[in-house]
Amino acid sequence: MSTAALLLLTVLSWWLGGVTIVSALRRGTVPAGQHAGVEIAGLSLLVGMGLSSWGAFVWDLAGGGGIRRFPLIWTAALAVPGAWIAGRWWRSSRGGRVAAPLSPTPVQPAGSPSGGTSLSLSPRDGGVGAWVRLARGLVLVIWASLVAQTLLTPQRLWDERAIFGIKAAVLYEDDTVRSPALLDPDFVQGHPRYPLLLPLAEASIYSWLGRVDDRWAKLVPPLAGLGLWLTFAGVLTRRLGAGPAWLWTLLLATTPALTTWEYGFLSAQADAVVGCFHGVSVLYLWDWLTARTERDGEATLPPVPPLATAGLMAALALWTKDEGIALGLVDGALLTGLGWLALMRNRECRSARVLRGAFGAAAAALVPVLLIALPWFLHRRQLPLTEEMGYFDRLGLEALWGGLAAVPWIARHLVSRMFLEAGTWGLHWWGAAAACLLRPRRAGMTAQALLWLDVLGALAALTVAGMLAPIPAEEHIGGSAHRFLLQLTPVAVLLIAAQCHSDPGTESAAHQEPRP
Amino acid sequence: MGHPQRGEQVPHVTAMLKVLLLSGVMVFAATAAWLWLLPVEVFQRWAIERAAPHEYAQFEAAGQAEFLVWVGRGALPLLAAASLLALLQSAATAEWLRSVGGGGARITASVRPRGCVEHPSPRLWTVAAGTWLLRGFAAAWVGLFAVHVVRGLGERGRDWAYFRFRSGAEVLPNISFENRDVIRYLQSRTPEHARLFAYSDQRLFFLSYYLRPRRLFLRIHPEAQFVIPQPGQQRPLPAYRRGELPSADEQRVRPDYVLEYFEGAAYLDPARLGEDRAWVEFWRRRQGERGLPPYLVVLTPTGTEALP
Repeated sequence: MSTAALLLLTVLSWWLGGVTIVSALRRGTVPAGQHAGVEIAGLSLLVGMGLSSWGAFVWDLAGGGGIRRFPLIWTAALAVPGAWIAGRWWRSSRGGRVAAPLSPTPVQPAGSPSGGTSLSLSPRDGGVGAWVRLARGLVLVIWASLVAQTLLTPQRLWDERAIFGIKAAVLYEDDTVRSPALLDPDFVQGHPRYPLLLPLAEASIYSWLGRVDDRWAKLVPPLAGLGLWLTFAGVLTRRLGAGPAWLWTLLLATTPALTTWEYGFLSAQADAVVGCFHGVSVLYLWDWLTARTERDGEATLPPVPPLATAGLMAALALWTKDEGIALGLVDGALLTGLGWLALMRNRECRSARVLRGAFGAAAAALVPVLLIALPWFLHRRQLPLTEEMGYFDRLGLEALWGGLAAVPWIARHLVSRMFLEAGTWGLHWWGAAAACLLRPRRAGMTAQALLWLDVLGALAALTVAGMLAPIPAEEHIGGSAHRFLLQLTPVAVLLIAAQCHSDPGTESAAHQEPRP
Repeated sequence: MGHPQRGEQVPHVTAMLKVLLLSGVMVFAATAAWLWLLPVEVFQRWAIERAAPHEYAQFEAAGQAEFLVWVGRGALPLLAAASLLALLQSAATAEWLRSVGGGGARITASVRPRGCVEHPSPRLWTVAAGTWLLRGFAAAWVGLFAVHVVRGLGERGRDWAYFRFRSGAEVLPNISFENRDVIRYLQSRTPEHARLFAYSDQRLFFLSYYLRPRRLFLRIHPEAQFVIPQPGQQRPLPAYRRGELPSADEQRVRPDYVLEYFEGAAYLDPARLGEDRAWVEFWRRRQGERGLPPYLVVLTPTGTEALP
């Protein structure tokens, strides 16, 4: 078979396997409506890519017999049923057996000029339908150009070869995650303890191709980008309406840091991929916090359990790069804090029923994290420690006190990267700051607060890393802050979108809340 | 002033659109014809004449010109055809554009949130200001993206000069000339599945990457553990010399060869630069030089594997 056909097979295998898993999360129900289809398509791509890589890891650890064989097992076990499920969904949506919720649920004030929740493409939609079609087309064109640009060159950046590319090739060649080379402290590789999502996804492509060719392995980040964009559009369509959803998806797809900078989707570095998983994780947390189930219509009900999905995405972020650990911890702490605050402010929250619900919600988010992280952390203990910074081992009052001197430089550097270099990275940080300052009341709502607190928490984590690292902050943070900020880009764009386009039901609900 | 209803024609708008589309058809078709009729070399020569008087700048300019000509040859006829189609269906095109514009206007119109209308607290912005702020922001965003797209096209053109669909193993991109020579030398002198133990004042990531399926091992000096390497030996890394490690450490990885590769002055022993005769010959052939290489490369078989 030709290379193109084999690559298509790889993508289809990931995507259809993801469809099966997402269908299981939905307990087999058929998605209602086009926007749910978009959301599920994007999510399936991310889930399929991430979990097939994790599946290969666990399969080999459990003695399944080689990672090269795993793509075929994945295809037979998950992608083939996924094709049947996708076919069933497609037929249902075409046959009109499922009432697609294209008509708006009552979340738009009468006479509102905004795009509305509706995906209605009727002549009376005031052109929103035409605009949405144009935006979708543009997003697809941008993605196609991204793929073409990405595949124009083989891997050529430092980290993509020294850290991820070398692991991918060795995993494929040795056909096991217990590769003697990768376990050897003297084998020349960057960061031996870095997670394996990207290397195993690349090795999966090599398994389909039957050879190592690092050009085609670069397909992984653009696919993650497509997954992010579609999921983003789907969730925002439910919450803000199709018009705003595709406006912000288009703007997300045109962010220079992610799309045109060579360290974003154009390379096989892990930063953009972490950004996708973390972005979708936060997206579903925001979705969950935004939900007011009692007033949610069918169109705004999430097609997947949002907390479990957020947990799964957070787990895949930490399975991609170590920054995912910090980002997951920040979000976990935020959710705990916000829950605690709700408990303190509202006596009704202290009822046994609500507390049981809260524990159930926490379990839903934590189970996927534990399932994915545990085998990885157990295996990671065997991997060599050569140039890992060991932040958690260094964490202590004395080290923090010693690192305080670096904080002013780090703060100045971050401000410069985010705001003064907007021409290079994009306008998203200016937009996020302005959107919060101009609508402070809305920014104070729980769902919105999660977004800016996530960003602030992540920046604080980076600052702490800069304080603890055994090298000068000017080198450590100076050489990595722009890549870390790239990982937060989807959250920044979500924050702007959520601030600019109210879900009026939520907004009015917020205004009805008693003020302290 | 009321907006025209759906299907209602606005003659001057349609006429203006027709003029624009006709201009588009002519410009795109003429430029496409120009690009297809003239040989690529004409554009390459033009680009080289305008490039900096430097070998690499001129090489990149030639590749960039070739890339951009082929992008133009592919894209411009499509744009001409699309413009022609839109011109032939100008009424429908005008209607579609109006629809898209109306949709965009609705989407970016700032909404006064329910419950805020009678809110006594001062608002930081008015609804109209919010609308124009959002539109201006979105326009600036898209404008910035357009600038990056144009810059990106230029960069892809420069990439084309070097890569032209060639693999990384063939090009050995983005590494030093010295690394490149050493990789080629080791590829020529060691079997595919050889194991090499290296002593070096570099991290040798790229050697490890491009020498696969050979396996390259190197003991990192503790003082070099957290040093971020810089190109061109700007920051020499502390390193072990051969003999400074217990031989058991070297033997642990069962190497077929031992490689000594040092570029930093602190590790260079001028008396040893010519020690590996095969390397010296290889380097002379590649560089067209007669002297000794300015850096040390010594490849020694350990006896478990014969040199080919």
